Amino acid sequence: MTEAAHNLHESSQSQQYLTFCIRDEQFGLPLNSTREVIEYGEITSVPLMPDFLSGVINLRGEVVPVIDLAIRLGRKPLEIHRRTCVIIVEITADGQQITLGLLADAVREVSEFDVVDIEDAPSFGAKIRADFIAGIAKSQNQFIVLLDAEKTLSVKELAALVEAKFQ
Amino acid sequence: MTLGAGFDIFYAEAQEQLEAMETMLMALGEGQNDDETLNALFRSVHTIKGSAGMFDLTALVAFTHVVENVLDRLRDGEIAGTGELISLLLRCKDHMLQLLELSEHNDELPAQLQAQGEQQLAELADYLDSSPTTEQPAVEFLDDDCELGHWHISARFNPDILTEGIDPLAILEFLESSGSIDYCGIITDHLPSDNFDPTQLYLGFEVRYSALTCKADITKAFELAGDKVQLTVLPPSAPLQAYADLIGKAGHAADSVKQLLIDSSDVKAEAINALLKEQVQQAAPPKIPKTPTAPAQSNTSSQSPTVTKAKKYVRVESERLDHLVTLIGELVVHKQRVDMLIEAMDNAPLNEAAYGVTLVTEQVRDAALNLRMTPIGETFTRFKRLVHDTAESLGKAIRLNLLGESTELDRTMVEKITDPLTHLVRNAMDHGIEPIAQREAAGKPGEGELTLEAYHDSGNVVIEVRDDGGGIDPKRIKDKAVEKNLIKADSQLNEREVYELLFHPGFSTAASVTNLSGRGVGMDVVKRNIEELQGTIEIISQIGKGTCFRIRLPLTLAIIDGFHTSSSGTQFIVPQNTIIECLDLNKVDRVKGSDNINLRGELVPFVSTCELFGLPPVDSATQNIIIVQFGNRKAGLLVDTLYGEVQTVVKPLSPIFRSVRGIGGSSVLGSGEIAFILDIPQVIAFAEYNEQLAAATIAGHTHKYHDDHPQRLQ
Repeated sequence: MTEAAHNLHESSQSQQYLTFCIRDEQFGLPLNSTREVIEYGEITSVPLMPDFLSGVINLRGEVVPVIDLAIRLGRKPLEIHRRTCVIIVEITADGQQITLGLLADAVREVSEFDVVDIEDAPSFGAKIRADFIAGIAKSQNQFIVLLDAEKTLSVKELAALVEAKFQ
Repeated sequence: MTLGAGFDIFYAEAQEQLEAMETMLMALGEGQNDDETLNALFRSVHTIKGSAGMFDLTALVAFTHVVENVLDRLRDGEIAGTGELISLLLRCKDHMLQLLELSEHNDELPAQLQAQGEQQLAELADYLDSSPTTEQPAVEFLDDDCELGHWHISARFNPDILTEGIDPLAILEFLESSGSIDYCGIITDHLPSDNFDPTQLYLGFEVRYSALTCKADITKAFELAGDKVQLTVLPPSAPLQAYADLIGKAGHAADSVKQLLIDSSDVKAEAINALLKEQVQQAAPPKIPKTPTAPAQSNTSSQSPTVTKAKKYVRVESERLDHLVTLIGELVVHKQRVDMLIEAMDNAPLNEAAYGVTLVTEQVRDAALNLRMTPIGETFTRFKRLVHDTAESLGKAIRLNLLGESTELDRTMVEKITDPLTHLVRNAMDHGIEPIAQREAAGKPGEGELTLEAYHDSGNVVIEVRDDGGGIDPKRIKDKAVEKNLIKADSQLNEREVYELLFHPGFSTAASVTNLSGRGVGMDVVKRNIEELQGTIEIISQIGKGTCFRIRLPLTLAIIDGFHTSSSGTQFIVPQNTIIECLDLNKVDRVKGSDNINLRGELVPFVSTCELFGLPPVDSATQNIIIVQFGNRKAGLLVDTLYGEVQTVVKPLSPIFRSVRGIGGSSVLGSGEIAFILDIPQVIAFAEYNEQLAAATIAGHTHKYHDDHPQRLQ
């Protein structure tokens, strides 16, 4: 097998994820939807927003909304500490590219998971909305919840939650 | 077929020419049949044909050719510009546009389009003279047989051709793409000995060209130069006499031409000398060559010079402009940061220098924004056709008035306002203006009047769509809303709130669905589009007299002058153009027991930004009131701190915040902090809504405002 063919073979079989922690749980997001990870800086809160919307940050002149993923996933709000970071993700909604920041306690690494090693989400017990989960991977005896970025961060749904605040 | 890089330019220009054609046809329809219009009309079609020829768009060329012939006759007064002919020509224009669009994708001509073209050609035939004289250009185009061999091209350009942006060299290069130039002789006899002007072309060209081609193809290559080139094309089979004539025409450059012809080995020296000597002996004046000359040349006499004052334009890709505006936005932000640092240094000369930079930055910003300003007139003019066609299909007589066409606004706004305007215009024609009989019965002139007007008002652009139709009956809207369960039968709504119901999704009072309705765009979409542009729309209507839709838009969305304030640590920017004055709360005459102040005898309500936006109130001794105005309403905004004027770059908020009320956008301050730009009309509406909500709650739900308010319907 030539090297190129080997690479092709490999890329069709495995996927790269950025793994991170929220408290003692581990999550993963597809690497291709993440742009960068930045230190937690000053967040400007936006008036009248639901709790999961922490506010907006100035990312080199761009105003980017930041989401407390812990709340979105049905956990207690994240506590800000020295190592808190913001994962900048880019998702496409209605043909428009949307940039969002996600709060995380720490970013671990970029992991590559073989498709066969990714299991379906258990039908219950994860305490996360089932459609948010793309699969569960195992690494160093720990389970990593791989998130479906488009669904977890559905702009339509987030906008509807904001709208609900105004009714 | 490869279409090369020039195609994009051709495409854009042809589109413009077609638009111009439509505008002029509409003008013609309104009785403006002066020479200038007719000439311009002919020219635009002629240009399309010419450049289409360069790209081998045979279908377009053939069709346009017939249209051109009809226009030629119209111009010469041989046929009259009847309404029927204009309607036909308008349809032809549409057909040409379709053919053009087809060419972009290099598609095959669909049978339906072809049939449409043939149908129109058949109709056009009625307006064509059957005598062969007018057909002559066509004959010239068609009589060419392709010949392989050495062609001779003799080209003399008008000296000002370079200033027209036409490069003879490019034409020669274009020729090389389908043949080879064996020899290119340059006639230098017209070079002036002094007063040489580098912008003028003094050179003539004698070209020996080897290709399998026909005369039309060669002529086409020069078509862009139009009547500014005198072209003689001699086919390989041309008799010696043709060359002799060419030399004879050259006047005092005759010797050079002869020498070049000999050099290019197009003719043999002895043969041509012998022939010329013979002619001199006959003392015959140089004859007009028998070989057909280029059609361009025959046009020179009939085409009058352009009367319209030519403005110089540069075509720039719009994205480059947008990029420039974005960069200048960044510059403004960074400059503010520098200003803050300089201020802290307390260095007078440095301050002065910084002030100079400030002034220039402001000018650069204005100049850049100005580049994007476009008169609304271009958009308005498009409606002439729409109104013409729609009125016809509805069987109504409607006259379109355009006012304030020179009012300028940002190009991005112009683009986005077209759809909502189209909808409003259609609506006014369909539902607003009554049928002729009904109008006459009501004692109104049979011809309805539709007015599009644009004007500037306190830093905004106002666009009105007015009709003198039947007006909107508030009772009918209410009934319909009750029927559709949008409001309760006993709800008390004032007129403004009733009209507001029209913008509810799916609301339609039209008793019957016409072919204009049901296009998938409702009034709710109109409103949303306008709100996306930070604008508002209101309806003013009088039963029996007519309706006016008034749209208010900011001049630009990119950079605004604002006033920086803060409340409870949250930074806000109030658009400068809405502010009347700033007052110290302790010094104003506050009306006891209410959130109103007595402003020199005027009762002005105010709202606390902290309360409105749910911010923790700060016990500040110095609160301030900013008096804002929007349209003819005044209100006060209670804020903690006033910082001063800033130029801010508007950063639209993420789509997640779509439904946030009162905040129109965000902005990065010089300090790097983020401020929210207040949308004043929304802030006022939001405050009204909150108060009415509170009042309803206190009153024990007697009004059930919470259930009925149209705001809730959004």
